[in-house]
Amino acid sequence: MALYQKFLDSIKGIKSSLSKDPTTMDNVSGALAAEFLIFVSLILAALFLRHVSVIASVVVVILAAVLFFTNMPLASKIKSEQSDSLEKMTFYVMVTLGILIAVIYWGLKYV
Amino acid sequence: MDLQMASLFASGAFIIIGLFAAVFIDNLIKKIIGIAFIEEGANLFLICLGYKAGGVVPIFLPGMSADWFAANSAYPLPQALVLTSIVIGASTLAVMLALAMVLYRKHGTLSVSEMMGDEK
Amino acid sequence: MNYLIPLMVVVPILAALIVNIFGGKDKTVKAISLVVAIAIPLIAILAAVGVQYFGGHDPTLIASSLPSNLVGALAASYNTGIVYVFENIERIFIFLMGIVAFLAVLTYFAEKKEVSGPYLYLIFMGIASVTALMLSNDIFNMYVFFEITALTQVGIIVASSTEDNYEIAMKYMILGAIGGPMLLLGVGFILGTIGSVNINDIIYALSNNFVNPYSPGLVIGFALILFGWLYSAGLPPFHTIKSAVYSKARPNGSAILQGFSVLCMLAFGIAMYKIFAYIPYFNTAIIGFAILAMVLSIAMSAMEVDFRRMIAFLAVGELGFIALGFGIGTQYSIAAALFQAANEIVITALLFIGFGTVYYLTKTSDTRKLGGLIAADSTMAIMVLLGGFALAGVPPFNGFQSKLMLVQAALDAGYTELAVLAIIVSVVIFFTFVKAFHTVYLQPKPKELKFAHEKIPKATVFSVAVLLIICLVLGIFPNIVTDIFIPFAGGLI
Repeated sequence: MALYQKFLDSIKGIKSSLSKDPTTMDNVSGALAAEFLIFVSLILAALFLRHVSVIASVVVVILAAVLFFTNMPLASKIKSEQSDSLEKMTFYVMVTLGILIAVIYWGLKYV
Repeated sequence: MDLQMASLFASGAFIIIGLFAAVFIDNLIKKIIGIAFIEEGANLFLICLGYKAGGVVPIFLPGMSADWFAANSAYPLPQALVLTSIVIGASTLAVMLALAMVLYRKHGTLSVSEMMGDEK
Repeated sequence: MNYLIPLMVVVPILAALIVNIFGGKDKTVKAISLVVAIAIPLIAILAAVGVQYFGGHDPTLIASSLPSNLVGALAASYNTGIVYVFENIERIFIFLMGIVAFLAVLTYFAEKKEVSGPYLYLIFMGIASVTALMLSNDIFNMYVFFEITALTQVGIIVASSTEDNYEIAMKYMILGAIGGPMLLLGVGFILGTIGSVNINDIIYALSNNFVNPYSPGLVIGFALILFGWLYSAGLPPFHTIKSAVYSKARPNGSAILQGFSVLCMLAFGIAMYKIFAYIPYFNTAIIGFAILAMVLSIAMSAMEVDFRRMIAFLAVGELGFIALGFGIGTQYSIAAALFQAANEIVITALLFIGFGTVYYLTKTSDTRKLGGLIAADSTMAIMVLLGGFALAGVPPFNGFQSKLMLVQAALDAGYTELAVLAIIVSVVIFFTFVKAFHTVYLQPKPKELKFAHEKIPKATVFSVAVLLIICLVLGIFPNIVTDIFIPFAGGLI
């Protein structure tokens, strides 16, 4: 029950954080839709692990669900990370490049 | 260390220095210089691939035996490719410098964080 | 010899040079551009399927004249020049791109009194380079034409004279200058390992065990080319810059830019699939980026208030569906991805041009300041609504057919969660689109809204109608294209 209450509070939190900015009032529905989309799709993506190991997927899904519930306004956090600032863009580009090369090179070294 | 290895290390150094500059330096012109470093590093890497220690220019001259030529000539394909990619790098650089000029006139600064930061 | 294959690239390049020379003379430029823009899809329809060996080299002829000690060696089978391969799948995509380009040029002429030679130069140069990208069977040549495409994309934004377009162009150049050289490095690693950049040669060397498929050079080359593919297609982490690019161009420019991205994505995706499909977790990596692209872009578009940026994010999110089809990796799913790509070119062009009329009429793209535009032109409003239905996957439009095919392929392959995810994302696309449509067209018109133009040009209405008809035809008779895609996908795996 406490978790449910927290969920409701966080939705109210999104609403109030958006309505502070008078310009985005009509976009509360959009923010909520984005919130649910991110939540559901990340859980579904975690379920994808079942092709590797069922137990791992159960653990990851439960962990992910709890983590997402407790950090609820995910959409606004993700939005602020995807602004048009060049620094953020280059940061994510470099991180992706590093991860790709590291994972693929050392991952396939022992195939 | 032979010449090829040294050039490969140099190309790696070029790319890493260039990436560092492109990511961390705030001045737009210096960022562009870093980007030119990345491009040249990639070109140097390509040209190294065709290197052959003690090799000859890959042009078949009269009087050469085919076997000797095949054993001693450098690999010509990377040289042909690099020529194209140098042209592309130069045109990219030109477009970037032109844009930098326009942006400097518009904003009166070359600081990237001021021009393209979060609030912009 | 099939001369129409190189002509597909030569004609737009020539046209680009000519319109640039005749820059000031509007009538000549308009006539030349329209003729060439019609000629491109026509050539694609008329050309016979075939292979073009540049420099006159034909490996079978060369092989017969080789010295005896080279017969059977790896080098004896290599191509010594650039090869263009033209098959029915290239025909479909070049045709669709040509149609979209023609309609975009038509719209541009209708909305602008004075035409700009350099702008048309960029459009034709871009078309030539994506055509070459589709045709080429040579990864270095693909890299070259891809860089030309990227430069023309930057040029189209710079020439669009919208707000902040120079900043976005500069950002795209900087990120591109990280992505492009990485792609070149990847090509270099493959060249260093195998000694050729021709895709057929690489496959030959790999499948006949001339090189170790897990040698470090090939593996790093794969990682770098995958990164370059993300950049060329605008998948995460490049989705923000790609959507910014789309939203900063003129509407007709955005339609063309999105077509370019789809073709770049397809060309490199098919090349990667041909070369690297043996690598374990290849499919998983692509599925990962596809999910990120769909979820992040669609979530961002739901939160957006600028309708051009919203459509741009929707377009990037749709690219995720294409990547998803590639990632699942069965014959049916790859065919679905190709079908989705064909639909994507048409539908997003429709939406960019259709919603672009709102910007044309009011000179604002902020949905909070818009409303009541259905009174201005109800035909256009209805066509845009139908285009949105096609995007979200409502029958009887083409988006429905390709998404149905994708979901079925995911279910057949045993990826139930991906099928569910694809449906959920489609629902959010529908929601976002309907919300945008409601705020722009249906809610009461704000008092301070002023019109810059009174009427939408007839040519724009015509362009949107043609695109809508293509959507409907592909939706009702999907066999026209799927009969070609399914065997092609079977050949890939």
